[in-house]
Amino acid sequence: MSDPRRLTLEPSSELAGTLLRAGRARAPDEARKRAVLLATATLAASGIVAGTSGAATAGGTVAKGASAAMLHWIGLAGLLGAGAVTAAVAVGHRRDAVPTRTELATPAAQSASVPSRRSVAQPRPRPSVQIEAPGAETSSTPKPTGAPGADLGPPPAQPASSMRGELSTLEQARAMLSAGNPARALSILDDYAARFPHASMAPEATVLRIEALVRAGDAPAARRVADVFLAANPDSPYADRIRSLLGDNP
Amino acid sequence: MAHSSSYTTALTPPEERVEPPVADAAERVSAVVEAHYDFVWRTLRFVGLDDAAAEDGAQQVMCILARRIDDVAPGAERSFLFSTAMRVAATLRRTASRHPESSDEDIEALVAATPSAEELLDERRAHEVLRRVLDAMPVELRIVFVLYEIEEMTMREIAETLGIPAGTAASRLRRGREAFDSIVRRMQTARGRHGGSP
Repeated sequence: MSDPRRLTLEPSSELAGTLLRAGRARAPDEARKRAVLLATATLAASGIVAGTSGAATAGGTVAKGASAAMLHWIGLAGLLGAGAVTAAVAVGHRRDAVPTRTELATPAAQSASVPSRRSVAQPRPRPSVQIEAPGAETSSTPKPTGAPGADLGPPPAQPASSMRGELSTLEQARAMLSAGNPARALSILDDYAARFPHASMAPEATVLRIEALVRAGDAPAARRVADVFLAANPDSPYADRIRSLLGDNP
Repeated sequence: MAHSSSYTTALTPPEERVEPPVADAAERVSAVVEAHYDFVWRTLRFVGLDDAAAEDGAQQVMCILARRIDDVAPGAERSFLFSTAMRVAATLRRTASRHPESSDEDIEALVAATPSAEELLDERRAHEVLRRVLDAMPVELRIVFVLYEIEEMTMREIAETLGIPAGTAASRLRRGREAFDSIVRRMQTARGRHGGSP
């Protein structure tokens, strides 16, 4: 027996038809939707950095940490309201900011050779983003501060297609690591950095880079990247994972 | 929604399964969220949550999806999301602001405040009126009515999603239509008497 004809096609009255056609007229807040899209993809992708069989325990920690990071972003978005969600997500990422060329060229880093492109996770400036407390005057576009003359705005919200591209690239890097080819993984991560200058998954790429450098036998470079990352993100959900890769965890 | 070869995993006997790459799961989650977020949000609003609670509920639902994506068979995503949304809504109703169940007095107030035809040209206004009409319907009828008439699920999908016999789903749709038409007729009568409210 076929389904009955829908009322939108055969309304009992003009008023009924008008009301039913408005059923989909309202849409959720787009910024909030993008934040949820980003956060859930990251949660699902947390297994990327959990990766190989030798990291089962660390992977569990990473997965739990990634959940905590996601809940942090969502909590931040909820606190700040829909208008600031895009900026909140950007701040959430910035809390796991990746080292810049300037940051790598610190006294600690300068004791080694000048970092090559392979050692720099993400060569871009890190803006300081001010987020207003609830109730204060808010702006959907936070006013960035930074070096004089710098026009540093929050990165644009990533479209889903970019997210899929990022995930696909990181998957390839992970696959190369699993196949015992860290050099190729590093090359893929260089490509990732070039293709996605405002990468949503830059922290995950950094963790993969650190692992690849360790496996390639370049422990000093791995430690340089890790030191800068952890200095900027001491509470990162990936901190334990990184220390484990460096052999720093007891 | 994008699919990949890993989606055949659910149809493969367990002993022959190869675990799909994690990035594939992340892609699938992204695709499902993008395809069905609006549906989840609308569902939560139509079962009585206000905008803020519906947003909170939608993100909770998607978090659950992300954690359990491997348990969701391909093609069953919307059913999973709807069932999850109902459970999340039940929890949120206990804490978030919500529209209370409508009484006869509320229906009278809704009828008395029927907007004019011109006012209903504003889709947002019409949507809010629709929402109030739906709030005035018994929830079990409202859910089937919304899923069929607004979300355009088939009766078979609705019966499977709600875990009810097809006959029960059909009966609820019929009664839901009667309830909807009854309220709308009263609004039309009131509009005819008063020319709509300013």
